[in-house]
Amino acid sequence: MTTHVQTSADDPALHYPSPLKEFWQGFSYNRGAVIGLCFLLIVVLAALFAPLVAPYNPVDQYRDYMLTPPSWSEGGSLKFLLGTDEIGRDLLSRLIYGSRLSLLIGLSAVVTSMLPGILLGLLAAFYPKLLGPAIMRVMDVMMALPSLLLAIAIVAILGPSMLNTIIAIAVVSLPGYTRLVRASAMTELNRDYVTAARVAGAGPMRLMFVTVLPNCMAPLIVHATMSFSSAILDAAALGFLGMGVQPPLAEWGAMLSSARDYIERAWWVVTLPGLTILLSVLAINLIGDGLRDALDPKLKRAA
Amino acid sequence: MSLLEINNLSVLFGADPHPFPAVEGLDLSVDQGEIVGIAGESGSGKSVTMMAMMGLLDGQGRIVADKLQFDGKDLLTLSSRERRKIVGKDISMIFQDPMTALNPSYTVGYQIMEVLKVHQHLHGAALKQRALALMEMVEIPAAASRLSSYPHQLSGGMSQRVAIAMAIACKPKLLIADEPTTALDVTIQAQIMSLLVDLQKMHNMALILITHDLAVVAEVAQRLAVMYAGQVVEQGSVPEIFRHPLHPYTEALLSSIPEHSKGARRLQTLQGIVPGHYDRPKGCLLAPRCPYAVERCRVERPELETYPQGAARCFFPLLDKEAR
Repeated sequence: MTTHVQTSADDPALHYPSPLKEFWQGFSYNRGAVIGLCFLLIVVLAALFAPLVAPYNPVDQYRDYMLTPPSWSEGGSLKFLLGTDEIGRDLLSRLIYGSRLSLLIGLSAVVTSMLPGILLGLLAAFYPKLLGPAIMRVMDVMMALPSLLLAIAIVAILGPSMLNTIIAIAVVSLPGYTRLVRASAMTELNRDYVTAARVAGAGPMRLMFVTVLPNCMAPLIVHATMSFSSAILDAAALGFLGMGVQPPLAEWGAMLSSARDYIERAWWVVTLPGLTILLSVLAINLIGDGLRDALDPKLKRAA
Repeated sequence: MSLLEINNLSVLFGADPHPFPAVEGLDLSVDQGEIVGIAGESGSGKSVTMMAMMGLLDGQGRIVADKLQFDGKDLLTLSSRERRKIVGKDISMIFQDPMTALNPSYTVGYQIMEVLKVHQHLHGAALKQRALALMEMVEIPAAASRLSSYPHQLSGGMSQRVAIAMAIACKPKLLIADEPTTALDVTIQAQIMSLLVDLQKMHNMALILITHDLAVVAEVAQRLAVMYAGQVVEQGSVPEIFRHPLHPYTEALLSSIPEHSKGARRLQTLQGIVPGHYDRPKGCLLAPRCPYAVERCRVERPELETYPQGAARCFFPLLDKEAR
């Protein structure tokens, strides 16, 4: 035997999979998450290219076609694939434009509650004597109120508009972030690497944002995904109650609400927006599950 | 003048009427280039002492001391900003569990370079070169490619080497090793210990070795302080203490080393546990567990007395064992 076997042991570190690849392996292991991601991608694309994709302007009224059923059912017309609503607006176009609003509200609500939530949570974890309990008691009070009621109260005070909807949802979901960040920051604070950083002379700012925060990101990302879907739900609920986005803007919740009177005569005006909300929220929650599988080492391959 | 001088240090936890002294009346001095061992079982205040010295207790415990001096600077009166500058550069620490001592979010190289950037103001190629040199100094194979690996991709021994590299990055004057080998398996333990001692000699650092493994101390340290329930119960040079322990606790520690019990005899143990907040004895802290305790031990607390061989906190030091 004269063949020389080339071993790769000389440089083992080069063969580590990149973090991104490892993440995708964990994520794609969960098939539901991948399906959810595909659906969400379609929704996002539809929202981004709404003017190109939507067949009609969402506020144009076609008075000759009021309450036209979807094209596949009896009396439907191919002109309006998913039918029209009570004043003759194309339902498909309204759903597509509605996805813009829903995603926008969801995203901005998540961002506007996550950033202060992270800050408050870190402060609460780093200053456990006075500031921490003070912050957490305020959060407890916020959690003691039913979240939808609190959101309605905020919108009632500020007045119904899209911006105020976002603010209301952000305020309502703030305690969740604060608690989560505080809890994981407190676990991380007891680890030796934090002490090591402090021995090396790291100040409170560096400790908070450079040393500890990146290690709290995994549960935070999962929570942000989940609360993205609940923000969409809350926005729809506020819209349904007439406290959210105001007509004639197409918003899923508001569409449901205005179609309520026709529920017996025209099933599609209620069902289709409802189904859209359901599917989007489901897709995002599935993605959240997949993210948890990929990011949380404790649950990895457990199921 | 010693590099580190601690006089009468106490660390008190809890509210005032009955605070719990985690460390009580501790004296310790460490010279440049010296290896000092601190031994004692769990909960005897070894780590708390070091944390207090570096000011890392964050107002959780109250620190009282007559003197707390490092390299001629009084650590008690420094502002936290000044203290960070001194402590970060001249004092380093190695921890027990290498798996949690490195930040899981960053690559090994980034973490080493971060220390160098902040304290030595290195940049660019010089920075990378120094990090690589450090990795090679702690004998990490394939150092160049390991710079870009994450802590979870390294084994325990490898992580501990990286932690050591980070600790010596700024050429500290004092290195504190808090049970550096406890979490490692035996063969790696020996390697890490000899690496530590080599580096200590190379840089002429002072090394404080916190451990409950007396065998480790016996091999490398010059002086040893034995702690029990927050007090130094015995202090002296290593050969003396190992040959003639003065304090019954030291004697008990020594006889519980596995190598000492020959054949199939049961390992010697000391009954009971370190006293806590509510069962702290009035007299000698060891009295409830001490095989030699008499009435005086139970009512009166002994001071640290100096003897020719060293110092011990006992009314009846084991000066002449046979005479007992």
